[in-house]
Amino acid sequence: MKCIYCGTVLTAKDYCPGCGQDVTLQKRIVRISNLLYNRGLEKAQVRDLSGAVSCLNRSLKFNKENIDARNLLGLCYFETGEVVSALVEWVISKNLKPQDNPANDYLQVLQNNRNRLDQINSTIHKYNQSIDYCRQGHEDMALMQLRKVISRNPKLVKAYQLLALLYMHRQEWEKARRLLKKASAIDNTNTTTLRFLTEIEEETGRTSLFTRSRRKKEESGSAKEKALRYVSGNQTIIAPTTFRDSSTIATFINIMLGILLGAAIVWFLTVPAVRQNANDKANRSVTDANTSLATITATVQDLQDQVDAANEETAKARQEKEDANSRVEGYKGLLQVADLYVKGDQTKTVEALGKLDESDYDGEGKQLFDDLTLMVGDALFSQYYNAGTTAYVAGNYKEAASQLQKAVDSDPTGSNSMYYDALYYLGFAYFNAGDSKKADDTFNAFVQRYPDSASVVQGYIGAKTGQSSGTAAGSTSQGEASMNQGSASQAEVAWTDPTTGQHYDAYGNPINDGSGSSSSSSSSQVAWTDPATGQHYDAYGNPINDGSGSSSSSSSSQVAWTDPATGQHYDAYGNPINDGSGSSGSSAQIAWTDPTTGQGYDMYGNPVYQ
Amino acid sequence: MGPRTAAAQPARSGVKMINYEEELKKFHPSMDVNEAEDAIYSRDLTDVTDILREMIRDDKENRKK
Repeated sequence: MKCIYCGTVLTAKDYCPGCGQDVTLQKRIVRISNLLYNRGLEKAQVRDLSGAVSCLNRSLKFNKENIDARNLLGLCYFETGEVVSALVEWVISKNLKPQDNPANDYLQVLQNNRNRLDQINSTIHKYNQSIDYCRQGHEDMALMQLRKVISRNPKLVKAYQLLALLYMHRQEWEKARRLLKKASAIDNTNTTTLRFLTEIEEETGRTSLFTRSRRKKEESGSAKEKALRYVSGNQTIIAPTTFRDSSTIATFINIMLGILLGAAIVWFLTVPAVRQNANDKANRSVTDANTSLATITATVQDLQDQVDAANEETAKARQEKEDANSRVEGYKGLLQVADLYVKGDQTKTVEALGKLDESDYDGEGKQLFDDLTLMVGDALFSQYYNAGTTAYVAGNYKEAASQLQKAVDSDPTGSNSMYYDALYYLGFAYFNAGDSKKADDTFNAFVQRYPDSASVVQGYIGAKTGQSSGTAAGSTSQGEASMNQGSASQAEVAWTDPTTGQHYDAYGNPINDGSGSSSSSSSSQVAWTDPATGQHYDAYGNPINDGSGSSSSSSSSQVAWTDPATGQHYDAYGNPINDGSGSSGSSAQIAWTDPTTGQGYDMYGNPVYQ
Repeated sequence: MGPRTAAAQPARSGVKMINYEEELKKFHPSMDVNEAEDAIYSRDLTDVTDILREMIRDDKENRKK
């Protein structure tokens, strides 16, 4: 501080050391300036920038050289967006005190950030332009400009205020409130901002945050202030103030409680009903599904039954077709047999007839089969008999039983001369094969048919079967002994072919004893001899001119069977042979006579020598 | 918060507190950077000390006269 009289630097004394003038007033002025600076500083520290600017201006009015006040004033201007005003103050400050001045730094910062300064400059231009738009009535243009200004220079308080004024003019109170709250955050005691907020509060009924505490304090005051007083004409009306619970937090809590209550109501009242409906619907669906399933199952079962029935019919039809085919084949065979018989081929007729099954025919076919069987019965019987005895000799008792059974079946009347032997050997074949039942049945049939010869088989009825293994060699089965034993000269002859007269041994081997080749006929082509006439026939049924054919059956020496009771000899066809045989009492012990050898045997199969 | 009724509201003149036009007049254009130089030169930096000095000088001149 310098003396205003002489310019001398003053000291702490109240007079100038240079001129000696009283400098008390000068010092007082400086003190007042400093006091105002302090107040401005306090206000600036609490963001009361408007108040700070006022105090600092007053401080500078007292002492223009108060550098601190001027710098702080520049800062306050800068904080409220008045950058150019801040620049002016700092430039003046720098000129007043070039050295050791913070204003130098502030100016340096601005000069270094030239782009920012240009941007702020452009926002100021837009702000000025917005004012012109408003005055011209182009409020929309002003709105757009002011929004840009605020976005680029968010500290320009006047822009907030002007934009808020525009919103208030358009009655968009909440938008105005938000802008003014931002402005109050920069300068919280700006009168314009406060006035606008008060107006908004009056219009909307909602208080701003910064007035709430003040209102609370007012409300917590005396009870007298709860009433509203106003003058209407000559009357003073005192009315209770309306209670306004406009707390944001309370509103939020109320909303949340309402939401919770609504959710609870929905949960406890609506959801169970909805759930019940859903369950009912689901149950109905399940029931319908089950019904459909049952219906479909029944349909499937019906269809399956139909399929099964169709399959059965198909199988039956197939079987019938096969049966028909087999019957056709059988009838074909039968026709073939008839054809062979017509042609006179007895042998092939017998062979073919043997292959046919009697059960395949009925009606006229059965009649034809029976007729053919009857006509070639003897030959058929012989065929089966030969096969059976061959198997018997070989020890194959089951096969022997089968063939002999066929032979017996082919001659139901038992008219064939070899029927006796066939039945006899059949019984022993069953016996040796171990089939006691059939053996007993056969023996009983034999006894019934030939009661005179019952003693031959009586001992075997009900006896344990020989269970013969059927081996050909070394077998000592019953019935076969008779085939093995006999006259010494013909001990090997077990069986004689009635057709050819060939002798065979126990093993089915032909015996070269002159039989079968000459005794029957001078020709080896003799296939069959008519028992009535003795005529020889060849294999084709043609008569052989060999001197045979005499009517006397006694010239034939082919004794096929001898009646054990009477001793009468019979040929292969059952015709008695007049050879002097037939005595009945020649041997009381003879139970059976071998037709081949004429050897008599007792009931036990032992040869009887007379 | 109950409904507002005419009896509960304070008396108003029927004119809004804030007049748009009047308020708009209070808004003045801000200085831009180009106007800073002129503003500096035109700034009156006279303070109380200058006034006091002027008063003292005037007093001296009067005394001399």
